Amino acid sequence: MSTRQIRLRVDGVEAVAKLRDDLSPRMAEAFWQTLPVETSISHAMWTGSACYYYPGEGPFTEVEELEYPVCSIYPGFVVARPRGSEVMFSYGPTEYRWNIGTDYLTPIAQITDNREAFLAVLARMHDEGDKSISIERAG
Amino acid sequence: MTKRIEVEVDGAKAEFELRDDLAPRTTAALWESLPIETTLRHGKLSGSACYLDVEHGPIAGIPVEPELPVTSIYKGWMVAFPAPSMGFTELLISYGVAEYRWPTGRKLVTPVAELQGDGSALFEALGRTHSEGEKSVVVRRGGE
Amino acid sequence: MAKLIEITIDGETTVARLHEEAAPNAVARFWEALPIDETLRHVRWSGMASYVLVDSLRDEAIPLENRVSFYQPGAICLRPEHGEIAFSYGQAQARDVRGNHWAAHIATVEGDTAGYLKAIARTKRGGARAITIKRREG
Repeated sequence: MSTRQIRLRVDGVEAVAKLRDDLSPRMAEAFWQTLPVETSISHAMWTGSACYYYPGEGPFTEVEELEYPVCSIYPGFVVARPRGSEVMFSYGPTEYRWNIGTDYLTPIAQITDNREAFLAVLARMHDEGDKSISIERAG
Repeated sequence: MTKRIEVEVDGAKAEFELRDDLAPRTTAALWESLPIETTLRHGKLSGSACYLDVEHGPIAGIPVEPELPVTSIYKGWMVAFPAPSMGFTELLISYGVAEYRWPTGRKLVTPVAELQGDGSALFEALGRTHSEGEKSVVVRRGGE
Repeated sequence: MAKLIEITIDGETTVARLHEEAAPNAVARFWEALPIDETLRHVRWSGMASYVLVDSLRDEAIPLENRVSFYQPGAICLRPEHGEIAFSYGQAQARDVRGNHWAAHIATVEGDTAGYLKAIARTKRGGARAITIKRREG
């Protein structure tokens, strides 16, 4: 089975990512089912070099388990919390944290094409504030 | 052009891409230290990961501050933990859920290489060290 | 008489009192560094706060007087290892990639702070903006 891909777009910069259903099969499938998404992303305030959006109600809420627990979000990875309360994108050093400390989430996608340019756009959010993101199934 | 390295354990080989976009100095030091031939052991505290201690070459002397600090070791990734005061750098390869820990808790490492293609044979070999004990490992430049 | 500073963000000026007795050396170095005209950005690790980086305050010799880890809303705190001055508007703690840290609590805003706290908070979604900090004379 070929790997499913998604296309992300922020500020006119596009990247392609592959779903990591080898690591998080249920959460990656739930993510796939939420697409397309068009929403606002914000910069993280506890987690470091990362940006996030809140998916709200939908397929994510049915995935309760933490399929592949990580607290570090490698640059270029897309991660989600169990029940999908948050989806995050990392562009640099990160550790998933709240006010009470470190927490864990699971990787659902990894950027494969145009990574550098896309991560640079996310990095700009530290100065430029919130941006719009669109995510859709690719190919 | 992206550099590749090959890891061989118990006859199982897999190719990794050096992630010099994440850690240019550490990956350069690793490249210059290859080939490495040493003993691979299963980690005791870090989950599904194995480690090798490298005492020679530029990688053994990299600064203690990790270039891209992480504690999670993603499946199929190699990370580096510099221990210059002890005269080596520890390299770890994850084959499952792993997080770098000491008895005192989590510690920071730097990701240096990412598996390319099918790593299932290598993962099985790494996993076998848990029950079979230490094995020999070779890390060499790709294409050699 | 306590030293006071004026902080201006988005056209709004607020007064803060320096904690000279509790943090004499840190406050003295901060006072010397004024006026500060910098870019205020939201923190990425420390929660509900914004910060500026001041080169002349990047000095590990500045002692962590009036030492805190958690920042109260309205607190102004200095992390000398980075030359970072943090302005808290809610739940916040001195943190970076390595974990939790300490800072010198050098000042606290006073009076009607609602507008100031909102201005600080606006960096979260609205992005970086200019900040001026100067001595209040007289």
